[in-house]
Amino acid sequence: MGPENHVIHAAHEAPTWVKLSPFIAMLIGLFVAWLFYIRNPELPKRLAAQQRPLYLFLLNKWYFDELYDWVFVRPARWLGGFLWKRGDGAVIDGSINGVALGIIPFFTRLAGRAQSGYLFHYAFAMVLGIVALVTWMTLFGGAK
Amino acid sequence: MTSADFSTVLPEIVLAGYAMAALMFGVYTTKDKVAPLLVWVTAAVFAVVALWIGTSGAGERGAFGGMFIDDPFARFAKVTVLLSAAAVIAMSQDYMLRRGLLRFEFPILVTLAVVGMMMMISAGDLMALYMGLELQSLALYVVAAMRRDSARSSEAGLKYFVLGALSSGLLLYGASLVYGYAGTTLFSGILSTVQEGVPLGLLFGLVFMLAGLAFKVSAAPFHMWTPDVYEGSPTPVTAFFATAPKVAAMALIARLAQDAFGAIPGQWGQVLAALAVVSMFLGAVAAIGQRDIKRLMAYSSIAHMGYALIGLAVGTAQGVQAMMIYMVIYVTMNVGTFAFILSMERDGRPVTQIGALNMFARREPLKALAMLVLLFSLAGVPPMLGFFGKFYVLRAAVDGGMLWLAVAGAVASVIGAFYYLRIVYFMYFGTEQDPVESRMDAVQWSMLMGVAVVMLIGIVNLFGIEPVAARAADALVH
Repeated sequence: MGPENHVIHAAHEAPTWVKLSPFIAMLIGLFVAWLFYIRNPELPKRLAAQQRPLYLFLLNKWYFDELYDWVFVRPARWLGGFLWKRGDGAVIDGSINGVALGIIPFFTRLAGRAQSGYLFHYAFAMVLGIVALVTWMTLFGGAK
Repeated sequence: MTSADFSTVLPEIVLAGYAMAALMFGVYTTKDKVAPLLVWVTAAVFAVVALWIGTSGAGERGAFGGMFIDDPFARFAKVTVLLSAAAVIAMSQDYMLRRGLLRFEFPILVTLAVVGMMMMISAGDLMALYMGLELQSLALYVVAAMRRDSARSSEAGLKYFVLGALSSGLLLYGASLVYGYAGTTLFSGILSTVQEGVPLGLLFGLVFMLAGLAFKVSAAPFHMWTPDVYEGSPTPVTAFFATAPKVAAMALIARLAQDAFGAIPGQWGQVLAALAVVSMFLGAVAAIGQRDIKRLMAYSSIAHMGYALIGLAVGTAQGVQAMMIYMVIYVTMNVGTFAFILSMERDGRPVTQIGALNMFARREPLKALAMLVLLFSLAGVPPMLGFFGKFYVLRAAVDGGMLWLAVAGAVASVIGAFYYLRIVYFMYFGTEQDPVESRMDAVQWSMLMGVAVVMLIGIVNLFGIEPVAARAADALVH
């Protein structure tokens, strides 16, 4: 902590009313509890009926759980579900399975068809190969 | 033409002389009846020559004015070629004898092909290159069509011959272009020309020569002969095609690229990288549709050549080392796998359908287990040796700054694993129908089991080939 920082000391210099306010709050709470549960138990019921929206708001803890559910829990669940079903299931499994069961067999059939047994096909493949290589080397071979 | 020249090429002269002597012996004795004897003697001669070359000391020697090069790289490749050829003909003897295919010319033609391969590996000159290549190819055309009464075998031989002639034409055209621009056929002379600048014509020559050689290693798109020839040829011939000639042609590409065009690795690196990627993916994808194990092995070899080409495309000594280790592992795996394919039969007739292997494990658990190890190794599943072959080439690609090539190799190997593992699935979980029998002689059995064991225990230190391959690669890459 830097020498210019006096937060611990400053904490002691709060005004007196601040120090007393918890005690007063306790007294208010004590009085209301005595009023509601000992002096007149009917009072809370009437108050709840009279101020119903306020009562429900407080009963549901300011609707904090619902708020969190909407803001955080549901999007997180949706994102998780999306990544699982779409991301993992469809994209990753799908691409791997697609490659393994779709694309590679396609190329396998293609290679099988190229292997026709005809000499001229084979010779043609060799000529194509050499044409490709020579073209490549002409363009990018770096001859001087 | 000094005696030093002849002492350098002595192994080749001895083998060529042996081939002539064996031919005379066969013709003037009982012809096909001496064939089994000739097979054993030829295998033994190969093994002895391999031992001789392997222990003939270090150093680099040229002969005939640099046309023939004997260096650690050549010796490494020659020993691989000789030993694999010996293994293949030794395990073919029983198969060919039982099916009446064993002509006494077979071991002789194989010997001549091997002499050609040794010539290719040691070539230091375009003419020596072509001579070796044609000696090898002509012998191979004949053995592909060896079963003359079979239409498929004849067709295979003819297809191989016609397309081989086309590839030779491409190679020769490239060689003449190179000669035209370099003014010499010697690799060292081409290298000094290339160092001064690369005219477009020389680049064309390089591309044409690489295309001709790509045909020999069956790299896509010059691979089209491979499945048909592999399927049509008698299985022992297929086994031979899949092993020794691939090593020799790969070594020749390495030799040509490094010795003659070593100054422009960026140029041929592009070509080889393109061939490697196309081969790997085509081999992996096309093999999935195959129902015949020999065709499957053809696509498998196309894909494997793609991986080996990665090592060459990188253009570093590490890449060459990786390629050589890869080729040794590849050849070993293929010897074991073909030992099994040779034994597949039903009612005495050879069977090559993959479907016949359904539930094979129930009848022959030990052989099925050995095949499982081999297929896992071919697929490159980690504990087996095949994984380390791929690991070396991919690491060489990453270290050489070709990360995209390594990524492509990894993706292709995942696709390719499917068809190897499908055979394993058939053997262990398939539904039984028309079962296959597996009748093996002692040689085939020991090849299959030996290679399976090698695939497992080789991971300890690769049997020490790593430093040898490193020395060989350092001798080649300057």
